[in-house]
Amino acid sequence: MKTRITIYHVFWMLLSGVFLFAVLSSAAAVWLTSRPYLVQSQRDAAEILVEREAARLDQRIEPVTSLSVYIASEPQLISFVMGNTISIDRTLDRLDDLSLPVGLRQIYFFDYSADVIARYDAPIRPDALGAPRRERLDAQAGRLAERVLGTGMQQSSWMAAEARGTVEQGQIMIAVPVLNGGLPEGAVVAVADITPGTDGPGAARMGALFKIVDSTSSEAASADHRVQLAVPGLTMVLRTDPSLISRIGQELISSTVLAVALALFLPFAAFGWAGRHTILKPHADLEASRNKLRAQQKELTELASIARKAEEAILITDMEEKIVWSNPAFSRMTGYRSDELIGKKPGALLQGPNTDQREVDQIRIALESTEPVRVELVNYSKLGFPYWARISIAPLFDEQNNPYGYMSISSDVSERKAQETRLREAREAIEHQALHDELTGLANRRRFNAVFEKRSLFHGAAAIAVIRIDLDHFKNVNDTMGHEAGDHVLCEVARILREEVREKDLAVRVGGDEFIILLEPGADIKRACFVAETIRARITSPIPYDGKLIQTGASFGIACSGCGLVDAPDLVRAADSALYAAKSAGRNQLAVYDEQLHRSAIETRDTAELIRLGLGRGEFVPYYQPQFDAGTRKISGVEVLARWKQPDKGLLTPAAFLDVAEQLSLLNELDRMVTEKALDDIKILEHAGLAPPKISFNVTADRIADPELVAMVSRQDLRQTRISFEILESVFLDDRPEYLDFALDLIRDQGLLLEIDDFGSGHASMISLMQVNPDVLKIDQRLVLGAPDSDVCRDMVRSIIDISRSLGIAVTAEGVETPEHADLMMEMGCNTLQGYHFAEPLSFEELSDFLRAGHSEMVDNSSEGAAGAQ
Amino acid sequence: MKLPGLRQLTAFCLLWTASVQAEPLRLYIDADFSHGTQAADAIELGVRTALAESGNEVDGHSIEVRPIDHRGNVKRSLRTLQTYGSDPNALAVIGGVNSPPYLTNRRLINEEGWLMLLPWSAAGPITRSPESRENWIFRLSIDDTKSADFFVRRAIEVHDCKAPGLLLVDTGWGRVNRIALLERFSARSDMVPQVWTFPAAVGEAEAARIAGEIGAAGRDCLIMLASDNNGSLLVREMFRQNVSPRILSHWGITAGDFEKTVAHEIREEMRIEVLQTCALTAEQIRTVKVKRVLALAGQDQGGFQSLSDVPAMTGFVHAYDITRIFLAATGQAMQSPNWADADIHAKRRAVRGALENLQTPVDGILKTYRRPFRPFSQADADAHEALGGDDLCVAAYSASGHLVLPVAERGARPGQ
Repeated sequence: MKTRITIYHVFWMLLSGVFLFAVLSSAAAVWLTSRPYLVQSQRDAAEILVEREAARLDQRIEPVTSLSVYIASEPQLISFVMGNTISIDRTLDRLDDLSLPVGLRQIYFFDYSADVIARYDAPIRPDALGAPRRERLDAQAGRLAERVLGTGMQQSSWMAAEARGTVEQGQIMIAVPVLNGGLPEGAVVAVADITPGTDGPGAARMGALFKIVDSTSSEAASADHRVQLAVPGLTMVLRTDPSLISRIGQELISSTVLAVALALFLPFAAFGWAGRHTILKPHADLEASRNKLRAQQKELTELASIARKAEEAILITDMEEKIVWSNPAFSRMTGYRSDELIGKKPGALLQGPNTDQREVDQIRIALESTEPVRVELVNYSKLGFPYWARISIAPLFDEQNNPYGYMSISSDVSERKAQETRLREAREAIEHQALHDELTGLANRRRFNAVFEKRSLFHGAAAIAVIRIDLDHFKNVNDTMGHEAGDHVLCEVARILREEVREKDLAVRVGGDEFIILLEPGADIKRACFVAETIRARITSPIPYDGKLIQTGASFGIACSGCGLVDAPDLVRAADSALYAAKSAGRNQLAVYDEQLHRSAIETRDTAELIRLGLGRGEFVPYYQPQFDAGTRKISGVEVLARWKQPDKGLLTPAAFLDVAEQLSLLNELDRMVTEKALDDIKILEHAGLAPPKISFNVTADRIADPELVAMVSRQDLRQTRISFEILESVFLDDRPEYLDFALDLIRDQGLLLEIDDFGSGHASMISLMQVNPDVLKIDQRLVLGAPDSDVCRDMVRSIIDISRSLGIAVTAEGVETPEHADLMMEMGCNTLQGYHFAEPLSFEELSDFLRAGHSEMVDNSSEGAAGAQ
Repeated sequence: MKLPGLRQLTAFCLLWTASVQAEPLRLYIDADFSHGTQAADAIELGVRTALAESGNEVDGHSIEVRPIDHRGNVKRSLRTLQTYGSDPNALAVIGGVNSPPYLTNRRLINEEGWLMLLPWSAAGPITRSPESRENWIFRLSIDDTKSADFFVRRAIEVHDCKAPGLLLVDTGWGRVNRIALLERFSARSDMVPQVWTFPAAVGEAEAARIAGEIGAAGRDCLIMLASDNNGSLLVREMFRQNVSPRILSHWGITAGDFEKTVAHEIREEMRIEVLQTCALTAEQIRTVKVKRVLALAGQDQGGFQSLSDVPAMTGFVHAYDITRIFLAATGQAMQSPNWADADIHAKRRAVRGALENLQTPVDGILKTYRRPFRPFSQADADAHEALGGDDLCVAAYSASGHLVLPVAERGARPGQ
């Protein structure tokens, strides 16, 4: 992002620049003026330093020199050197007694030919020298001795140590001639460790390096600072660090810059502060004002440009609502040219007959209170075409916040409005479809539920009446005349309902041929009955269809919350009960949910409660009715019959609970309980050696299709008793469910038996029978009971037996209550006989006793037979 | 097989031999020309005078002198001897006044077969070589074994010293004499002289200390063995401290400028006597001979009227006499038919043999030497000594610094 340079930037940059320039020029001036002084100072300091260091060194060397001179003049040594004595021990012993100079390392003794004739090692040395350095030392001492012998003068030499730091260290050698009669006959060379400059803080400050060099060397000649040491031949030079001046200069400049910067900072800061307030701020204010003006101009220009290019129609009026400016979009939308609009009021130009006056009023109120407003209304173009406009009007304020006009931004929303209308209509249609029956146009169950719930909740005080209508034998119409006829009947019934109900009544088709009328709140039973009767009468009238008359009827169940029997939520169920009663009473009539029905319903409800309890307590138990071989009259099996050992009511047969259990969908559970107990009983009997050859269970089509039933039975490891399922013939009458065939195949695969129960009661086709291929047909006991006295019954029994034989199916006769029945059935060819003549349904204990007795009897008979044969 | 180069090679060898033969024989002088300049110069003068008398040749063989300064340094002396030893034309070395070089190097000299002629050094053991089978050192000088007895006898009998002291340089020479002197004192009296030793390079402080001690000890006689410089220092220091025993000095002090550094009043105060051979006496007897020699010696020196005019007269006389003997022995050795073909070692050996068996008398300044040396043996310890105790005298310094016969001795020979 590019930063804009402002007067602030310029001012501060200039100020900083001047400040910097002042500081730097001060520093440069200081440097230029001080440099010669620095150089001279360093030179002087170096001179002083080197002289001081030389003096210090001389002071260090002097004892060594003195010792050397002393030793060299020592008569014993001279005698030794001259060869007059052969031992130097006395000299060396004397050295041991002396206080030797600090740093003394060795003393060499040379003869006239510069051969080492003895050497004295100082007992305390700073460190040991390495062999190479020792050899160098020896050689240098020898050379020095030669010089001494050659000149007869004292000599000295310096041997620098290898680099040990910035300050030179090494050994100084003082060579003194051993004179005999003034002539050099030998030499004493003392070696001492010397560290020049170690205690010279000034040297460190100056970054200097002391060095001892040969006085005749070029290094001595070229050194800036040198001092001849007291010992001959050696010069101390001071090598100053060339960069020292620069460093000192840098430090000086740094100090100067800092000092000048500090000194100038306050004046400059004051100037900056004052300049900021006296120059910058006014300038900045002026600049800001200019910028603002520029921005406003730019903004206005941009706004005007935007407004001209905008899709929305923009209109600006004065406070009197007269147009002062409009954009091209406004002209396009309205058809008016800009010049036609100036000075006109928009309302007068654009509003017309369909303009909603409420919206106009809303605009007016907003304008009066100078508040913004947004409306949608119908405007008219110059040519008179209406269009929907969405208009936003906002007052315009000047800088003093005074309103000076209005701006309107509008757009043509006709298309959107049309789309909204279409969407609303479509939604209404969908909602209507969702809540109404497509065929009849009546409300559907969904609408009914919603309305009923609403009225139940909000009209609790007012009575609600419900009429439940079910067409009688409507299935026959469909079956005989086709579904179109059925639909026509339904539409006619709907028309009757629609015509007979009031506006606030709700006629509903809840499914198939079932209708409900929810009467308006407050309707009593009387009106309900009246309405129902009126409708029944009209429905009963033949309905012409396709040149024919369709006769139909309807049953009506009426329930009313005003009767005090049930509350509103239970009204539909109560009306159902009443309808069931009407149908039970012969159809085509009304039934009112009265006290009697209410009691019956309560009874059913109580029974249902007891059934649930009984299931929980295991009160449903199997009873067993034995079946006998017709020829031998021996037990060939038992049929399991459910019984309810109700603690209060005693032993109940299925007639007392089956319907209620079916309504509660508890049949399967009930069956499962009875079946499990029966299987357990049979296992006990098998263990006791009393097992019957077969046990049969009555099952419904749903039950037999339950895979759990087959699995449960298959799990039983029954060795002596075969399991059989009895299915009602009626199952095969109607269109049997597809799953039934699969369930039957499964039963076959598991080796279970299949019996058709109550055969002859219905009209099951023989083809269906053949497809099922049962093991046994059980003749309806009504045929058996009637057989002795009725030819028809007898013929039917005979026919059944004949068919069974032809198909290889065994036949069982139920309801054998007398010896006559037994004989007749046996004669007619039945294989198995079952009925009160032989045994009534037995509890497990009774069956056990019965079987045990029959077994004994059989055993007894067998014994007798065997005995008689004998 | 014919060897064409053989003839040339033979010719070359003959020429080389001839050239060697043509080389002059050399006589080295190993003396302290630095500190004992007078003594060394006197010896050299004596040698050259003797050589000059014989025309610087012996039997047609020229002889040249090569003086080398050992500066009193034993090691320098050794270097000179080594130089001589390796010189194929050097027959012998004439030693200087200092005894230490020859005491120290005696064994090497005898082992190497370096022919050594000593005209002045006096240490007794030099010419006696117990460790060596051969003895190559010959002396014509005072033998300290004789001088010690001479000193003790003179101190006791002539000067009647009651509290003698010994002031000895701490060198081999001094140490040998210390033993000899103490032994002789012990033999001739009950006195046990007090002994002071001083280093050869004694300084003033040490000299003062010793002088103080001597003064404190109250010695009436002092037998001093010193060189001219340290003797001078000690005498002056004693004089300064008013310590003035009679001094019987070995001749070491005459080797230098003693007479110049010690004033005559001091010499008189200290009653200094200097051991000498009896040259001065001989001068009185052998006047013609001495004058002739002095004339020859003084040709380049401005002439000598008497031996006293010759600086370090002793050295001159002894050097002259021993050179005369050497020349006679060399001449005798050259008579051998093997001489010409002998190498330098053989020639030295031949000369040494001639020295020990000199056939002809040799006329010297001190006396006429008739077979002065004999083959050395432990039984004949003086075999290489040309002089004996009878040849010792004393001298005194005249006011002019010349050594002269003491007044009491004039006209009489020692012991006479």
